[in-house]
Amino acid sequence: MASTRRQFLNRILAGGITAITVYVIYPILRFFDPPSVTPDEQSRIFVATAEEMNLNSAKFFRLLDRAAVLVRLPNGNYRSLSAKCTDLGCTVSFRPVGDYFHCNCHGSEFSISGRVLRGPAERPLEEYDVSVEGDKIYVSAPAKTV
Amino acid sequence: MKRRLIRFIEERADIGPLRNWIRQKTVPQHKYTVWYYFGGLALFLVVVQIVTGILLAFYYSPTPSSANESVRFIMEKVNYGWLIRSIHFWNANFLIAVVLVHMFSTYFTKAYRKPREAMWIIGALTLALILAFAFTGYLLPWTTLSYFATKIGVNTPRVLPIIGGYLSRVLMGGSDVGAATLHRMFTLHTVVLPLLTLTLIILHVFLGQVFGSSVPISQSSYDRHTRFFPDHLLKDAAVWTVGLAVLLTFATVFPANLGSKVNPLQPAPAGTKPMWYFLFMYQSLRIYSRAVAMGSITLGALVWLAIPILDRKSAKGEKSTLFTLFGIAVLVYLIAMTVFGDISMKIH
Repeated sequence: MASTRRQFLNRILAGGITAITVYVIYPILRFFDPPSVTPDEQSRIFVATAEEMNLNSAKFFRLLDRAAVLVRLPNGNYRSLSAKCTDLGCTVSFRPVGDYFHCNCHGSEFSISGRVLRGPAERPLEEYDVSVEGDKIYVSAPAKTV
Repeated sequence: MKRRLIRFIEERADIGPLRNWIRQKTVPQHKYTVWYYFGGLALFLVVVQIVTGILLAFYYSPTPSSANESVRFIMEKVNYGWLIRSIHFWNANFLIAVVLVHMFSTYFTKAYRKPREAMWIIGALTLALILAFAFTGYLLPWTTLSYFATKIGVNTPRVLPIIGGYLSRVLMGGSDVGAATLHRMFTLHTVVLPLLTLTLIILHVFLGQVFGSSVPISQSSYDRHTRFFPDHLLKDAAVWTVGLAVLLTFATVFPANLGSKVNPLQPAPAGTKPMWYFLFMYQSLRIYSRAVAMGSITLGALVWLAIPILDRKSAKGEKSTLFTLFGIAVLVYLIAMTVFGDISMKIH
């Protein structure tokens, strides 16, 4: 059935209003989305001196905008991981007896290498690079993680 | 004085129709009339929350370095600051409880049926906004518990397809809970949500005046009414007075405390759990997989919103036992998950 001039104009009007609405709302929705943090020289930071780190101890620190942990293993080596539980983002705690990380929010557990020992978390903790220069211990995160 | 004021207004505006409307407005009387009071009580508590919220905003500072200190300052130094914050805290809890009672009484008396479908949908959306108020306000004191509870809250939507990641980032203002999150929560809590909520409440109350109070199907044969002004309004005022008395009692006998300032590098404390009104969601997330829990809750909320459209029997003035049973099932689930969540956290 042929549409009348009024129906045609109404459709044009409705289409125009919809287009303008999308045109206005889209940038607003994009505006709310925060820009991702780009890695800079701060992604490699000084964390501790060897003296501070006893065997089988952990130090929590901030790597850019997230919590991270440096652990000195019983064999004297260092390991650094994200301290942000991969389940819902709570900061994990270090359990020296048994050498594992525990999340108090939902009970997830991770091995000292970040592997999931117990859910609900499904992904491992991200591991960071540790470098020892003399007495100083530095941690750096790969570009993709920061 | 009163007559002079009325004459002053009448000389400038025709208030005759308004006067007639007030005179003619009535409220149905039947054995379920008591449930009508919860709507008015919710409105009263909203006013209390707005007033105390505005007062707190005069001193509150939304930055990680000063948020906790500013709340402490309010509670320890500002005249009656402890009372204002305590009322704001307890009133938030009471408001949610009263709105829940209002919603379930509306559900079980089938007051959502034609022609009040829009009232139900607007009311349910208002409850969602009130819960959003509670969620955004929880982080503002910047305490250890509020920090980690918010972390759980803002990361939970991640499992939702398509919009999950976006929603989580928008709430956090970055990749983790921090200064940007606090600022966003403050803006939502004090600007965005009040504007949206007040708009919906005004619409809800306006529709309530257009349609009048709903009479349950089983009570439709009774035709007793009472005048709204002054009879029903006086009873409303009595309920508000009792509500205020209970609120003040809780605020003074159990004043709201302020937890320690958060150190984001510290592990989440044992027993991190949300407030009671989010426990059902929290417990569901613990029992079922994230995707199943979030998917079911989202789907359940949409079904709940669409109840007036789905319940065709009520629309025709017939009893709809199926929907009554559905409502009971929802209520039992919410209560069971809340209690279960609380107990399991204590054991944990």
